[in-house]
Amino acid sequence: MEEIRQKITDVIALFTPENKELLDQPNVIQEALHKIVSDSVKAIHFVSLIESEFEIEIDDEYINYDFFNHIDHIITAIEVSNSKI
Amino acid sequence: MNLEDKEKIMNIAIIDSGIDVRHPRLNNCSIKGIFITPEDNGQFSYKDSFNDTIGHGTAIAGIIHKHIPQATLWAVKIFDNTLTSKESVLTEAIKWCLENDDISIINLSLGILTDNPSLELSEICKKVYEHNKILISSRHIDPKLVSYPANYPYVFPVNSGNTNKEREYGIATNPNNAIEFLAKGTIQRVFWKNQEFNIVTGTSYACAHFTGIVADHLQKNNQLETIDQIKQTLIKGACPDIKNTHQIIKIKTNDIPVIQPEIMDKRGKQLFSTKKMKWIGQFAIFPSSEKEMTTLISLLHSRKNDLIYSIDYPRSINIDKNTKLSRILNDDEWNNIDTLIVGYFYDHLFEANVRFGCELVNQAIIKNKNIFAYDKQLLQYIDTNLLKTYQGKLYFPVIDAKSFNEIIKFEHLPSIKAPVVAVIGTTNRQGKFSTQVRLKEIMEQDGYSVSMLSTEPHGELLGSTFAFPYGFSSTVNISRSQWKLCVKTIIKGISYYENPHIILTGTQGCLLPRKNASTGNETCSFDFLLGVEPDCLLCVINPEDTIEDINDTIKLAKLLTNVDVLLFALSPWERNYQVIDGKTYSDHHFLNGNEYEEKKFFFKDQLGKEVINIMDDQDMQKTLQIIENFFS
Repeated sequence: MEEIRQKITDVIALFTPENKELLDQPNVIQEALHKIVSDSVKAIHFVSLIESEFEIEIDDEYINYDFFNHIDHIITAIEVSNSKI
Repeated sequence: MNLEDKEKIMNIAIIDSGIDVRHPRLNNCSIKGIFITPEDNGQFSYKDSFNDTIGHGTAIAGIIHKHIPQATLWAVKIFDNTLTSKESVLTEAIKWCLENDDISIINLSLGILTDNPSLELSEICKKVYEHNKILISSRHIDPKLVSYPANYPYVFPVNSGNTNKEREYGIATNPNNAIEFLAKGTIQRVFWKNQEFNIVTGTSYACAHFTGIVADHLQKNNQLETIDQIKQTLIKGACPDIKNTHQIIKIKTNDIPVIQPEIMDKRGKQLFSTKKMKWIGQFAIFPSSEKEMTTLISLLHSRKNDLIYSIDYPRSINIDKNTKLSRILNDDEWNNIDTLIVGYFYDHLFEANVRFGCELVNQAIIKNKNIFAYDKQLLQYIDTNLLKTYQGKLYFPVIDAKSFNEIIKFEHLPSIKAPVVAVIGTTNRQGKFSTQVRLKEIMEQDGYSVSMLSTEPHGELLGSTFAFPYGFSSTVNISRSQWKLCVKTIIKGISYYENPHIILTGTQGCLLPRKNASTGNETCSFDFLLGVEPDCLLCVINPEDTIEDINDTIKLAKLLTNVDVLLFALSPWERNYQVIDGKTYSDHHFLNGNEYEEKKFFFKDQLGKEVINIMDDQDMQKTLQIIENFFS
């Protein structure tokens, strides 16, 4: 799970390079995710990067507000998608 | 087909922007369609091509397809390139669906915001209902806004609900006491044009989900039902926990606490605090005859004793031999100070003066004295090799890309709690900053904690929490499009970390370009004020101002800020302008007591608001009372 978290954090860092050093803090990650979801182009880019990073296709049902609200929800969506492969 | 033939394949019409049939996720979907366009003669043409050039229709189709993959989707395209069309085209599209016997459900992820829809639209929607076909239409997300066809009683109106589950739906009562259905309108990934995806929110998508839910219900339910019976069954099956997202958003914006990480808080306290200037103890200034420096000296007040040396240019006609130096400090003198404050000296007429300034700064670096310099341009003039071993603090009150990136990390702080008072003016050089400093003094004497956002480079030396120096030789080196966010975030930071009773700030120059007093940076103040969002304004005026000039300025300020001028401060300097050889020159006349009082009375009478003298303690007390009354 830590490996998944780290990979997601690396993808988030692409969107907020100025906060790269602070991304080990949950609140900074959450804030970064909120910024990503506030821009639909960024949001779709983020999801597609996550999908290509993990070589999965996340079920659209999981791409919702909760998904962008907490890194743990992204991990869950990835794990569910992985289990379907 | 109608509802009596449910055992057949469900046919659903989507009146929208067409469908991208090449989308890989729609590979197994049966799609037919038509493109309806209006002709000049009031008739309509029907074309076979219904490719989606917007994406909206493909998104709707994708959602419905996920709910009921076996259904045939009919793209009834009425939008081309933009999501706008005519009411007559919509009416025609519904009519076309009515006449197509196969179609049993019509999805309308659209609406007309009107109180007075056409009779034709009403009649065609009624006919659809009478033919036992289902018309599902999205409402506007704001329940107060009426939209059609959703507002007709024979239509299934849909709004956005706070559910993440695609097959769940709720009900709500809109302001007209009519029932509306709520389905997933929150953030979701949808199919889009050009075989792409998008992340979207809105009632359009809620409407599509509800169409899918209804289609699924009809497919599974073998009992014959009328439209009203279907509606009642769906109302009974609604999930009670789903609320309109409009209500949820309102609750969330009020209730979500903003939690800053601790490391950010530490930085925030440093960045947005008056205490950050504590490193300046006893200091020397250079060049003391420069405009900003003379203002600084005149406003030092409580820190006057910390000013040890006023150093001026060696080539100057203003040297006061008693109080000013025009030479480099000797070793003993350097020992008496810890900081050198350096103003603008690079564009001076005499090269010797610039050389002198550079030498003075180099010496300060060698002596490891702190340097507060108005402008980073200084770095071009000094020996940067000396900085390698320099142990002092080198500080520039500039806003550049680096500082901007640091500031906007705090943009998500809670909204500003303290009232914000902004000082504006009719011209430059009239004492706007002095007014702020005087107001701060008076309020602090009365026990208030006052924070300032200064637009002067020396503002932080005079107790400002932050400086945004955009006046003469501006050191705000960020794009104008970034000003509003930057200024707003600074004020948020001051409000959050200093928690003052009031925040004072002020513009530079004049708001309106005046024939003799344009400063060239008038529009900068627009962006600054848009970021400040003040709660009230104080306007500094000049004795020579006309009532028209003043009224124009306050009208413009009101347009920018939506707040009024509370009172006026009258500058004692009257300017007389002369045009010689096409150039405008001005000389200043300091009004004597009687002249000043006459002008004050005149402006008070003409403007209908209090006019004050900032150097008069009684007037300042009056100002304080007016501000207290305004905010109490």
